[in-house]
Amino acid sequence: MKKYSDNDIYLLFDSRKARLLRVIYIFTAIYPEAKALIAILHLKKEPFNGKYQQYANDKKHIKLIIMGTGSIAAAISVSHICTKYNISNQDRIVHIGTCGIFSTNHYQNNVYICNKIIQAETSKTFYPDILYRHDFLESAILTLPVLYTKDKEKFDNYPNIADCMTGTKNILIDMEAAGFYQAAIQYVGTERIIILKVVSDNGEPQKVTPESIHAIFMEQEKALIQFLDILVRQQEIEALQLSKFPSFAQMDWIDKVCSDMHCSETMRNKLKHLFHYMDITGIDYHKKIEEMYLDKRLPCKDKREGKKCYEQLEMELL
Amino acid sequence: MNNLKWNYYSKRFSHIYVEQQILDHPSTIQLLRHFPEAQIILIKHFKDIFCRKGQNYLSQHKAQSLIIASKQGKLVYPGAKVCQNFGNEHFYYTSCVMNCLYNCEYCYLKGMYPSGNMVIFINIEDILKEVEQILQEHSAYICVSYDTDLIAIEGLTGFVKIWTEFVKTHSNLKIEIRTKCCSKKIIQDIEVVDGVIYAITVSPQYIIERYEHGTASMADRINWAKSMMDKGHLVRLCFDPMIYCNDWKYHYKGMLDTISQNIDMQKLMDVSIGSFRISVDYLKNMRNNDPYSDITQYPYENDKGVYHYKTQVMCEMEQFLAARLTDLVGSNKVFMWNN
Repeated sequence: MKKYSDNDIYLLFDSRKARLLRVIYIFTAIYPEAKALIAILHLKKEPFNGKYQQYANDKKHIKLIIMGTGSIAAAISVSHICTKYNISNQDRIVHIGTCGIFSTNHYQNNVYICNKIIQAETSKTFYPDILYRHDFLESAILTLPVLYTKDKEKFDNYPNIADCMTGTKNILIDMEAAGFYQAAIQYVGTERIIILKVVSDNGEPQKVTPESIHAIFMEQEKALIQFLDILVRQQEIEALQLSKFPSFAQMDWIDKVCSDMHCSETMRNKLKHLFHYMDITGIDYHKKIEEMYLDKRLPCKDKREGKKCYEQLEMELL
Repeated sequence: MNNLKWNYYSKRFSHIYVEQQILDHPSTIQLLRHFPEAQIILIKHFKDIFCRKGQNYLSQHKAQSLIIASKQGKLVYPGAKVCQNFGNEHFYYTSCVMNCLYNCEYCYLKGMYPSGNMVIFINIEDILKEVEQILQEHSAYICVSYDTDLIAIEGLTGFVKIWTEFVKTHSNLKIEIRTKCCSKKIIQDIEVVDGVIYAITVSPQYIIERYEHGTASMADRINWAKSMMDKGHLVRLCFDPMIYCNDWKYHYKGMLDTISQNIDMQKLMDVSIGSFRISVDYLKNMRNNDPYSDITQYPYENDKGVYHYKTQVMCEMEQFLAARLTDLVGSNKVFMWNN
């Protein structure tokens, strides 16, 4: 079997593209958040070749992007990066950042994974899937268009928020999550979007400094590494599953058979599908095709003969 | 790391979404008691979760979440053409639960629903009211466990008990409860009621191991059917769907031999036979969701919007089983899906 490289791109039987290299894209709003993650994940600065500064690890399967503050900045940067790198359902998009907390109790600098995102301006609610085991706390997060401060009651401007917050004792408050999620969902599935927030304050942003952000992140180093490691391993498992199917790398050969069979577009798709099924079940169709070439059943003279040949092949293989 | 089975998924029902307006409903409180460690997330409507864009059925099923909701609108539907009515004129089906605990690779739910999460509608009393309205007009035959396996979650919901008690007081109602679960609790706790048919899907062990993940073994299903019949329940054996494999004849013959050696076939209410068939739209979704499953990727024949095995294979499989079952139970008790 062919040895695959991480960068190989495979055309699936149904024309979707698949590749073995699966990347976790981490987005932070500001540099102090990124700085801590760069240290924790041993990331290196990538040559600046666009609008956003990026960092990556040696294997290039973790990338970090500083997107700027606010929902709109978040949405624009996610959209830009996803388009630029052709991000698809094979990758994961993670937002890691700081947030405030509105709490009835005293707060701690815990890491939260967000299971519900409420956009303050519209009261729209979004729910990322949380499918992987983790040791973090979970919470809903409210995305405000301005910085959350305790002394000025921001909620008064958004009458629907009280309804969204029914039954919650704590709620996280940030400025990016809703925009980030809405952009990310255009590119990947709900289970591939993860929002991790580290609590930095309870409505006193003036007390938050770059040094305090760095310190809070470094406190959570072990938990963050552990969780990202789970994501990396999950990506590897998915890539391993894909690499078990040799036909993905044999599109030239398949194209030749289709052409020799005078396949129409529909028949070509049917043939590719048949080969895909054979790959899954482990039936050796190469041998059968080679036999057909030896018997002079292939190449076919015309479409009619090709159709007959396809029917014979299907009958003999199934 | 070379083991594809290794995974990092959360436990089933580690996340429970509850519609805000039924948070204080006694059934919700009862359900939540089973999962003291679960994350409870409040939602406005179950479709906010169940019908989101960009969901992956298979991944979600590996870490299935529970959605507790209240069902609105029409609650009882006329039976589909591809489903068997067993000679009943007024054939309906209803779903108090959407999605299943089990993971059968061929299951149409994977193509029908956008989400792999399970929805439990706690307002079963509203469904029963609608059934009562139907019964005022004519008798009815209702399949209550098509879109889930109610017996598998009886410990959570108690719906099987509610249905059997309802049937007991409505003589013109017959219900079918289809299952692949062999719950001893049902044998012990559920009263024998004439109008309740327990339909157990039986497959060869080879098929169960390959495609019906998490379900009871063939031997357990046969023993369960026997115990239910011994207690006096009406039992139907469903050889539906029959799944094609290289040695299908060998596997299905072996299964029939085991069944006929272990249970009194004359005591069976009836049997149903049908090879795997599915709507074009559902299979399209299933193929996208699961590109590596041989059962979804098999090159089926499209017959007016329904995919099935090549006609010759389909007929051979169904007739093989029908001939043997006719000998065992009599032709009047054998129902084919396309009759």
